[in-house]
Amino acid sequence: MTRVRILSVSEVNQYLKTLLETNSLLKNLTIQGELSNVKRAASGHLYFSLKDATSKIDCVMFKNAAMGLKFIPKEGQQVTLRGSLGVYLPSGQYQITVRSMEPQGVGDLFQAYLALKSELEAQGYFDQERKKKLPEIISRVGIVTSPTGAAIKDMIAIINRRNPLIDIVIYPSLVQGYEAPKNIIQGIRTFNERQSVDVIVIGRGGGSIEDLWAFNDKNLARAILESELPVVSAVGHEIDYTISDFVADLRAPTPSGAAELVAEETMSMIRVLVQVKRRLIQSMETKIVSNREQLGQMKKEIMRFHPRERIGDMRLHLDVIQEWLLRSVKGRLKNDRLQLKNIEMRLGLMNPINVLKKGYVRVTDDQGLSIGSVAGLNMDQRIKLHFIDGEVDATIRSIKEN
Amino acid sequence: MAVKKLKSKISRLETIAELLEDDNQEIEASMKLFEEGMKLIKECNGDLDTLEGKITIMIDGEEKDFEGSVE
Repeated sequence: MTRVRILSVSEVNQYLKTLLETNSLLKNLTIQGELSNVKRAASGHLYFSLKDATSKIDCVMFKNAAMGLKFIPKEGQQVTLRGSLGVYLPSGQYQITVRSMEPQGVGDLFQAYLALKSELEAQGYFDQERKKKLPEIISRVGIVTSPTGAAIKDMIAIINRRNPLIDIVIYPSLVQGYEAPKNIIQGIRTFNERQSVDVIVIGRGGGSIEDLWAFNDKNLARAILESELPVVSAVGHEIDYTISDFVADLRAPTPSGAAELVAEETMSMIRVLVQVKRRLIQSMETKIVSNREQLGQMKKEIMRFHPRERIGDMRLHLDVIQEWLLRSVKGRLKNDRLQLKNIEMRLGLMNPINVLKKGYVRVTDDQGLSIGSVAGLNMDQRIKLHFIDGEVDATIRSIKEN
Repeated sequence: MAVKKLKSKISRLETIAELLEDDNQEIEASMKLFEEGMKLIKECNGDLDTLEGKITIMIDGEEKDFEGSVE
């Protein structure tokens, strides 16, 4: 009796995973098929199926690998991819983890592109030194592109938003297919013949590598090289590089990017205007202030010669004279007064009353007649002695003659 | 041509500012320059508001008004 070993689901899947993922053939697969059910997750991973007429296989391309894609994978597109087989345990499904992928048939195209690129590079088509600068003032922009695509819409919108003053001249052109290069070349030549614009933009919106192929044309490269007007090339998305991008005087990552390059913002003009206005007002103010100062100085200068000033001077002079006169008259008076005082003093000395003050007395007889000598006086005769402050009656007691 | 018109006015304005900043300018000349400058600034602001670039399309070698889908 055989004993059956019972396995869990996980065990089976794990066994298969180990078996398949260690197989050297399955680790390195190159598969050709048609894309279907293409989904780009928010994470950046790309999910799709690869199928042929009778079968299909699930594929995942993780973000890092998907970022290396040179084209945008589309439903129904024939591709060749490289990757390894893996098993997803939770659902027990197997899928191809894709490392790289390219559109089928483009392998040859890509080879041609590389060959043309190195040929033109060797001929100096891409030399930076011969590239023209965009003019400082761009007033008219010539755009060679499809008049109905999203690219022209975006460009017009952006130019109008940044600088509504700019004229836009559209040269309608095919931008994909066999006829496209001829069309674009004609556009470049027409603008050059007319010299009616300041800069030419050639370009188109994003697409597959085949869609952009018109811009990998040798004759177009030559036309760009020979253009006297500067040419801006804006083809596809930022990751798309074409020959025209390399030859052009300037490469814009996208048509919108080209619009931004050629349309100087009016904001910068407004800024210049504001600045100039400030400069005008400031220098005028400075000028007025300095002129006013000068005027004040001149006024002072002139006022020195004003008649009023001279009258003042004269008045001052007069004052001085008057003062001098007054002083001399006063001096005289003072002198006289001094003299008078002197005389008065001398007179005072001679006043008899003043003599009396010193102890002298006046002697009279009782009749009041002054007696100036002892002669004629008698014994017991009555006399009067006059003091300064009163009189004394006296009687003579003795007489002695000198 | 709207841009060229405006740009030439702006470059004249810059010249005027330089002249005004020169100390040797007579006051009368300065006043005149100042007036010219202020007038130009007003004009430029007006230009910015009213001037509009033309959008044309070349058809059979002729520029015609572009009535394309411009939002």
